Amino acid sequence: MVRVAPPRTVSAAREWPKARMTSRSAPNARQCSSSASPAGLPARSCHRVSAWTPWRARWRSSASVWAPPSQGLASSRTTSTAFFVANHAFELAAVFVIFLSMLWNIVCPVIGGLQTIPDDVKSAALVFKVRGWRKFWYITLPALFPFIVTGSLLAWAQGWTIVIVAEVLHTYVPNGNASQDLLGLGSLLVDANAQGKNGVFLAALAAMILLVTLLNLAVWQPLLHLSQRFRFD
Amino acid sequence: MTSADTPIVLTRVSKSYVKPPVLVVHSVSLAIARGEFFCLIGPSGCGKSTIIKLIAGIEAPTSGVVRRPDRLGMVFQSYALLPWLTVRANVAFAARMSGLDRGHVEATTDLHLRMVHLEAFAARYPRELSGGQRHSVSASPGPSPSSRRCC
Repeated sequence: MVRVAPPRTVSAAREWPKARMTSRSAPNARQCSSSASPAGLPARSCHRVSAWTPWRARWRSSASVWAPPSQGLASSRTTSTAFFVANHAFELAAVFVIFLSMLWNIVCPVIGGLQTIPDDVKSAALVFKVRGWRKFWYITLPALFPFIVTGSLLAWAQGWTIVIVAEVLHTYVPNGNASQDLLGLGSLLVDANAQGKNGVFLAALAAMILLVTLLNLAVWQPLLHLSQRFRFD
Repeated sequence: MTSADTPIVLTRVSKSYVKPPVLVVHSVSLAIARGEFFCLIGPSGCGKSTIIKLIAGIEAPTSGVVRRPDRLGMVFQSYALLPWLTVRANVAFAARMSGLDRGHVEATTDLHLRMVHLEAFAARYPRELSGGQRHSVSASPGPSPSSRRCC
């Protein structure tokens, strides 16, 4: 769900190269040097502004990859997320970020799990002429079941961390602002924390803990118990 | 052509491995008739298991000819049972995979279970059996009662 008018994002996105130009011409630095001597500002605050500007410019130029096609290889996450955002698919953008972060938690254990199928079982499949999709469906997939469950559990745990970032769209959408954030536990936690709403923050935290505990008891514990049967000794 | 009635015939079969380079089986010839009880005896590492793998078709011979029946049962040293299937489903597995109809599979499975005296354990899982019982389960699967067995 989006809180405030999405069309703003597109126009902001289209104007992006201009915004980068202005940040590269570094008005902050000039402003700093001109205002530092007459107003007698301490040198430290001046340093902070000038140190922050190039960092910001660098971040923006890496995030602007989706706008000019000449930027070459770039993080696919930034590119695809921007694609979702440009098409107003804000939920999909968040889902995509969470999916990418969760995927490898499942893929890696499954690759390792392939090694656990005993040679004798592979030979038996050969002798009994179990091949192709039948071998996959009746031998490989059940053998991988414990690893899929373990991987899913790890992915799910990581998902709770990533959801805090993923729903707060303005942290990774170029020129994004807080109004684009999705309504969810993650953005609720971040926004309540930023706005100092301690009651909301604690309530969201309690809801998250409750959800994690209930799903653990209702889904993961039974699945882990069941997966024990699928392990080779 | 081979069929279920063809005896097992090995003609001057050799098997060598490249890594590490070793000649395991050197020009072995033997014939096993249908219904024959055949024992292959030798010290450890002399190639008994390799010959069985050659007969089962798990390994291809480096030279020579192996003639085997289409349907062959085999007992593996580490049982090769699927831990997520019950004893009954494990026994039925080979018959099911060979595409027999359900009634035939059920009948074959019942017969196999009776042959190895494990009717009472049909609903158990392999993990719940003793080593000897597991070997019995492992010895029973085969696409049909007429299939040959290599242990």
